[in-house]
Amino acid sequence: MLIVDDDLDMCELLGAELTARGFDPSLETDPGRALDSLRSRHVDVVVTDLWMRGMSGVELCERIVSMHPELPVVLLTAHGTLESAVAALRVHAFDFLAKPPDLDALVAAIDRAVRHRRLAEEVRVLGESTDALETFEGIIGASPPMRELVQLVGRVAAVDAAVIVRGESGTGKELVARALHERSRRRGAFVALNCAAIPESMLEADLFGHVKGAFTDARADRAGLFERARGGTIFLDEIGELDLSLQPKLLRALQERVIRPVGSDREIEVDVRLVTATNVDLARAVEQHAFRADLYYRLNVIEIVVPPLRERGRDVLLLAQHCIERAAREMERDVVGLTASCAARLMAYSWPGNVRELANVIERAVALTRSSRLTVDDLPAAVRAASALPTATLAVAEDLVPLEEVERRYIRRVMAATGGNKTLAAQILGVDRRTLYRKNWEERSDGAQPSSVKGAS
Amino acid sequence: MSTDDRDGAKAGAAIAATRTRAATDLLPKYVAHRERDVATLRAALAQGDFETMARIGHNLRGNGVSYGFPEIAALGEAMEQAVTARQARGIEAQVALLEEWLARVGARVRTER
Repeated sequence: MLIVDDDLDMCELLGAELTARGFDPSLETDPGRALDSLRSRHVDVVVTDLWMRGMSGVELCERIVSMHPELPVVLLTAHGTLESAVAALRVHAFDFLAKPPDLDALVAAIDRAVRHRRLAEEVRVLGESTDALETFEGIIGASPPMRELVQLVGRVAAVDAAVIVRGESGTGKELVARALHERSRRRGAFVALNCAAIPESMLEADLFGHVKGAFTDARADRAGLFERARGGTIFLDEIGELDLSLQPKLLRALQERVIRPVGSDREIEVDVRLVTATNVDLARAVEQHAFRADLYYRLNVIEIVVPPLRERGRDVLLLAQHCIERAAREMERDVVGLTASCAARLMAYSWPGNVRELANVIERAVALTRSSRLTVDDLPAAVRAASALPTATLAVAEDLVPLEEVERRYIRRVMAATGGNKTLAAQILGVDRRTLYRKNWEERSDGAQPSSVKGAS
Repeated sequence: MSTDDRDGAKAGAAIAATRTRAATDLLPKYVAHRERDVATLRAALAQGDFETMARIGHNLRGNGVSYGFPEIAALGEAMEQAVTARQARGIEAQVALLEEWLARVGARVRTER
């Protein structure tokens, strides 16, 4: 962090206050020298006074932003007047505070600015490297749960056992099923069917085929999915919707490896691997007699759980960048990435519709945007309104309390869950350790000062 | 105890209640800088260097409150106004007030250290 103020007393005081709060600021009383120093050094944020000799804070901010567009500048204005606020906005200051600044507000602004800077850097790196990230049969993700998933898929693919893929709607269960097929030794076709999308009366014929005259519209023999996927893989999505009357037939196909087309008296041997998927709790369906226990156990030899997008951290940005590149190519639009603010909203949103929803949001934004980088304004209202706090905090806000209190409670919960391990808690909360230290310190009733903590540069 | 001493002590007590630890640690430096300001202002007055006087006035207005001295901020503001109006006597009056403040509060800061 760089503090610029031509009043040495203010510069040193601000430096001392921020050092006491765990930062490691550099001080500069000459705005010209500050600008020069930024050509050769990396800082996360610049805090500058507005009224300075030689160069005003507004001019300094303008020149910094033109030199380093993603370096946030926090302006300290003498009186917090409307004119200075407007000037600060005009030169794209990240934030502005009236002098003398309330130190908690300043630290909060700096924390936001540092997060913004790091996110911007991450977004920039993403823009350069998403092509290389599509490493596993179209599955994109670098988060720990996705790395585990990819490893599991790699191991399971080689084993010719039935697999059930569980996960919320839109998480990419079919992609996982397809990856299982592609990475297996099976050279036959991959055939997918959504059990909920086919009328019950037609599902049997679709699965097992039919002979001519089996029913009114059966004008010729027709092979079912099991025959078409011979030597390959059948993927049955929403298996929980499979009618009870069809379940014994599917069980027989799996156990005996034979099927009987509708209307036929002849059995056909089949060699397929069955991968199924569901977003309902099949074990409960078995308890409620809506699903046969013997079929459930036959399908559930290996279970793969696809995590919801909200648990995949920075994968949201990887996927967003991938979707931007794909949509821009298809629509022939000159869109290359996201702004940091837009990225922050995407990270904050809970994505109930998961990757499918994200892809739709990005496609719409690419179609409508007037910028080369998607902005917050290009997002739908629900995503725009997403809070910067992790969505999981909602779980602790059962009574209606101020946002600050929600944050306090959630930090306490994460600290308890990690056994007081601040490094781990900071990782989970997505804040740096220093920020957590400060927040947690505020929580302590004895009010004791925390010992020195290394901060941002 | 003289009236001035009492005022100084009162100001000191009020200040100690609001000043942060970082500001307290920097107080000797702050006082030394104000002593330097008095010398600079006297020289600027002699040379009619209003720009320097305006800068010092502005800085006092900005840093006074942050160091827990609202009277310094008020003094800085009055000095800026006098500079704008080119009123040398008004500026002199503020320099005298600054000297008086140094005699009261500056001495106290030194003894507290």
